[in-house]
Amino acid sequence: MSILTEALALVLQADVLITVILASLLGLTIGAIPGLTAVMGVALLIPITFFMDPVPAISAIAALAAMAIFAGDIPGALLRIPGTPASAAYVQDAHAMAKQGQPERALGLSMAAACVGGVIGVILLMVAAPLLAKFATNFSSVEYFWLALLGLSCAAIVSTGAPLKGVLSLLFGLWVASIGIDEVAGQPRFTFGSTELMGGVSFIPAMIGMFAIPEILRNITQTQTKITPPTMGPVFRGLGTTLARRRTNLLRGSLTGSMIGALPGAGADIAAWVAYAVAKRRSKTPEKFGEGHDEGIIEAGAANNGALSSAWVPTLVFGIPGDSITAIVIGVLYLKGLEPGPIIFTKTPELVYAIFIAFFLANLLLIPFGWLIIRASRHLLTIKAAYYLPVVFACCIVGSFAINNTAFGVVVMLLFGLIGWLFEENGIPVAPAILGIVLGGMLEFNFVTSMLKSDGDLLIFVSRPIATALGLTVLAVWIWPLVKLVRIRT
Amino acid sequence: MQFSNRFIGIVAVIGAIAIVYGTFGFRAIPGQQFGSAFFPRITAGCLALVGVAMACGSPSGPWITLPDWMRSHRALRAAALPLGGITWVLLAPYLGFILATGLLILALVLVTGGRLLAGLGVAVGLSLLLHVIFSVLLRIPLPFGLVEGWFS
Repeated sequence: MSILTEALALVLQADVLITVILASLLGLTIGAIPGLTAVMGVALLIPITFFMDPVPAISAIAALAAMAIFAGDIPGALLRIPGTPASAAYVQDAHAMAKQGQPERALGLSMAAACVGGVIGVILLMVAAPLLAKFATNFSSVEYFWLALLGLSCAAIVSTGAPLKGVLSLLFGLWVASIGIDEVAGQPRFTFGSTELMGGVSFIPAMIGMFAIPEILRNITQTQTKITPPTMGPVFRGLGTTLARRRTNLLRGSLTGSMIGALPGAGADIAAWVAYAVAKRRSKTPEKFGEGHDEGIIEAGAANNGALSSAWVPTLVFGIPGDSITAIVIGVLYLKGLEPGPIIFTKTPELVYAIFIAFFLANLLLIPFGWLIIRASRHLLTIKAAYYLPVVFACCIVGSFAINNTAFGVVVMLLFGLIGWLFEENGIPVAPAILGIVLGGMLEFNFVTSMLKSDGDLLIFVSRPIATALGLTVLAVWIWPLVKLVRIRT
Repeated sequence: MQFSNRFIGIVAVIGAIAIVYGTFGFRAIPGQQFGSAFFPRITAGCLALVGVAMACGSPSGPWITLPDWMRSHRALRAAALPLGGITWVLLAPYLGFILATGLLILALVLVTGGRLLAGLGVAVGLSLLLHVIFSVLLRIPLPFGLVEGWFS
């Protein structure tokens, strides 16, 4: 109980609350602008959180992500342009509902579903994370090696369309992670004589570049069309009745999202697609899906925010990111000297519970802030890209500069931005590369440590039951695409 | 700008060879089997395999396909972004953060089809706001120049 009180005291500080409110407003704005995603918002927020204490920093990230994922539904419903990839699953229904003259109903439903999904995801996080952490205290470098490999394999193979391109992206990230001085041998690797690269590629500029620059470039090269969003009625009218009628969808979506989010490498967008498919399969009226039906909006809307919270389970317990946002969070935790893993639960439990409380707060704030942004969305959507894209680019520059106070960070950001853009243009996912950069060091460190312990005997990797089980899981993830390929050909 | 899978595969194989070549200078640790070169070489090996699979498994087609926007004035907008970034890196130490960032925002607003007066407002307002957030509140020593000199 005292830990909870301590955690509450950490969150209920004026600076934390103000940070959460500002981050929420920023998240809502970014999510509501078509083309700007939650991941990009988090990437832009990192340089600011870099200079904050851990609790306001993590709370700000949690609040911004939750708000941006919901706000992504606004351009989806009003313009049929999903604000974030997590909104894409039900954009057809939301837009059809808006075209039928009920935009406020579509957005009200997704707002309420996001809130419920988020809260259920946090409950799962609060229950599962400490239990798993207790279990994980027995893990050695062998298990951590397999866990890192599992997270990377899931991100590269399972969660992307083309597994080969996912693996290519991951290998690029792993190579980037090897740049700089090798901690074990003190050997500079791939530094090309640059003193700036001795400490490795700075994670934050690289991440800002890979996530933000392709989005700016994509938006800047599109033909701009004049947007006329529809007028909005009362958001809360009939909301309670619909939610009570669709409570099964609401709960099932929240649970589906929470469970998918907790898998390493899976994220809110996958959760939303799965939940939408489940809703359609279980519906008594599947023919209505895609024509402005509320079941898909509620179930998938609850799933994407549920996944957002539960993605923190593998992040906090094992240091394995659940999605792109938590990959960034892991980088932030390391930068703040907080190594994610079971130790964080015993060493600083008040911090972990403060993160849980911040998540609750962010999800509860979805209702008042969500209502505000729905009302203001008409004006936000009419802002021309010519005015906000240069501002986003300036934020990328100042954020990359601020980390080490050198222009080298800006150069790294531009270079990785170009690489990220080329990746996206060619259907190569960016997220596995970021996970590779974050987890590459951990993977190599745990491998070398295990080999030193066993005096070079590779059998150490299957010497313990959990390690063997994890190794087999990794093998299954690798074999799965081949099995699928063989099935298709036969 | 889309490259064929064959092209991407060949680039991956060349990259893998370059990584292995780069590891030849790494010194071995006495008494240890797995030195600094081990992980990069494993990465390069996997990269080469992926590259070969991509190069061999894809149908023949054009190596590079340029999108329509690259043949229109929108190409200038795209080029303005990296050029603006590099110009900022070169000019910020002399002009200072506020002026360099303000000019960058204004130039990009104009290139992307915004109006001069509105762009000027956005450029001045946002560069000052970013300066306040990073320099005043977060105490980050941003490049100092003419405008900052007036404030101090």
